[in-house]
Amino acid sequence: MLDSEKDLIQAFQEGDEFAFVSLYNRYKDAVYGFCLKMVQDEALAQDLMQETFLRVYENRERLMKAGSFKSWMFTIARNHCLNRLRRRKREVPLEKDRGEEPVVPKAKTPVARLEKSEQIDLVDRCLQQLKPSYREVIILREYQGLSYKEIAAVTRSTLSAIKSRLFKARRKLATFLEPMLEEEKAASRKA
Amino acid sequence: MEKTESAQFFHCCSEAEEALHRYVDSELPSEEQPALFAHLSSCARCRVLMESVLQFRRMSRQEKIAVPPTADEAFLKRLASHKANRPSTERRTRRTRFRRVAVATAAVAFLVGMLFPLQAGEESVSAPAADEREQVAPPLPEPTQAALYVFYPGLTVEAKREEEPDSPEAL
Repeated sequence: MLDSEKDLIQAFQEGDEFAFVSLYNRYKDAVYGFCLKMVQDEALAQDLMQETFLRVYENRERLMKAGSFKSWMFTIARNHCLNRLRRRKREVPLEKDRGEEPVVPKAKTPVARLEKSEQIDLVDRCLQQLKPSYREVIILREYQGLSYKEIAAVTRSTLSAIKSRLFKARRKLATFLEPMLEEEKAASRKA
Repeated sequence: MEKTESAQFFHCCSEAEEALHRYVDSELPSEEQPALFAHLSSCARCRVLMESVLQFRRMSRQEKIAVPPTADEAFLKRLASHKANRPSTERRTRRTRFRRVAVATAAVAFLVGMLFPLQAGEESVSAPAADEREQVAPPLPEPTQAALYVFYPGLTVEAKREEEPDSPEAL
């Protein structure tokens, strides 16, 4: 499987259009998922995904090693997302004051009793509470399943910096989820 | 031996916390895992942290994210128009080659410009004395009387008298 992917990437580097479409089909969901969780907007995420693949197509000569394709592609997606987030922050600076900032719900219902859609919504709200540098490492680790080394390559950081950032981000997430988990424990004790 | 003993016990939560994260990411070696479990059995704070990390992971995996078919179509259209508007590979190669040659020429010119005054400039570093003024005499068709124009101290250009703007013929 891995060899066939390497062949595909090499063919893409040599200008094979079919190889590019195959790579697009293979990675589009992952890139779209990354963008969606970063910007929390479906239309924008689709646009960012498309821009990422256009950039991949355009800059195929810049990819030095076939083995680093995935990291390279996520780096492009990440840069697009961060640029868009920065631009959005400049354009809508008063969003926070208008009270539109998403808030993690107060613990009322134990997590286990939440519907699937409610759990997804809760995850999104937790992610929105994180700053982009924390959000990206959580998404790359939890949704994309990248190793520490791969995350470091994507974000152009050191391994120790990535570990530190990931652990801090998780600690932050824990502060959001802890009350709900406490609620769950209390409910199970009563039962 | 000492390493084994220290690996069996975490002195503080921060040490255990790092092991906890590495454990949930399958990056903690099996020989270090008993020490983590021992710590978790006695530390409620770390247990809550671990539970929340795992809970977040469970919840995040509930969602299957896929690109909508309309986005695929939009991308393929965008790619096609991108290709159509893009210069051909040959043209791009030619343009790149031209740019490289231009950059190389500029670099050579810059280097020559930087090096030339160093070689010839030892004399010209100080301003020339009045009696050392450089005189530039353009070749004249016939040895006639000529006017002198001084452009800056040290450089003198000799011109023909009939070209003098003050002469009535020239006006």
